Amino acid sequence: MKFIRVDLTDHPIDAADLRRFVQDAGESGAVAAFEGVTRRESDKDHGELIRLEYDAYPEMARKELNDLAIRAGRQWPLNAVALVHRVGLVPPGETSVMIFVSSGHRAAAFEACRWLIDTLKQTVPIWKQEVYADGFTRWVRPASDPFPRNQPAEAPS
Amino acid sequence: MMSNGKNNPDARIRVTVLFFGPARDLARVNSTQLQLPLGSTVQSLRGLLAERFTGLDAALPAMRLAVNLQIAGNEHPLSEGDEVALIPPVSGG
Repeated sequence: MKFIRVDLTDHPIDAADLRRFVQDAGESGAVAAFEGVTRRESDKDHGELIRLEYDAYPEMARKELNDLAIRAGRQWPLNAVALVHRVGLVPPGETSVMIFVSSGHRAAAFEACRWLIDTLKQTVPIWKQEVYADGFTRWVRPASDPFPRNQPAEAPS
Repeated sequence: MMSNGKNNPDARIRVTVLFFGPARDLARVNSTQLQLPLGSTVQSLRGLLAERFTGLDAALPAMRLAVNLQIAGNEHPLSEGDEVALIPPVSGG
């Protein structure tokens, strides 16, 4: 697989541009996409979620995104992979991560796209913090993880 | 004859440690420079970090360490100038 584009950006992701990039690669008969979006949520104590704040280790995150694209290209017959993740502030309804995969046939594109988002969420050094209407902030912890609950959050006391 | 680093028990290496996400909040700094004895490993750095940053202590076992952009195990030896990063459980996507 020759065509890889990965990026971290603090601007809204240009999905049309990424889609064109993967669709133009090779003789593609299928383009699969995954888009992660900040969910509208509320917390009974802290009100509406007003934004997510993404932090990243940029050099390592770019390297890992690139490695993921390469690994996907080894597992499936893909023509192109585009992986872009936001950093900084992402309000509800906006896209935080965008993945496009192209291949000759649909099975490879679907499977690779699913594997890419699942693996990205487990491995790429990116962290998100929820910010609520009353100013309460909380780092999101993966469900399976033993990170202690008693970390100091900047909660108004 | 001048002693080289290997034979000098007082020889030290300097590493830069970067803190991200929840680790930055717990340590209350973005980065720090630390000196360690020659021959130190990731495990020895964990011990020093727990001492220097008491806020990190409880969370440290759940964090991985990356050395020069690569996740490194506790036995990994550290070298002069290494860039080490604390990697708390990730939550991208």
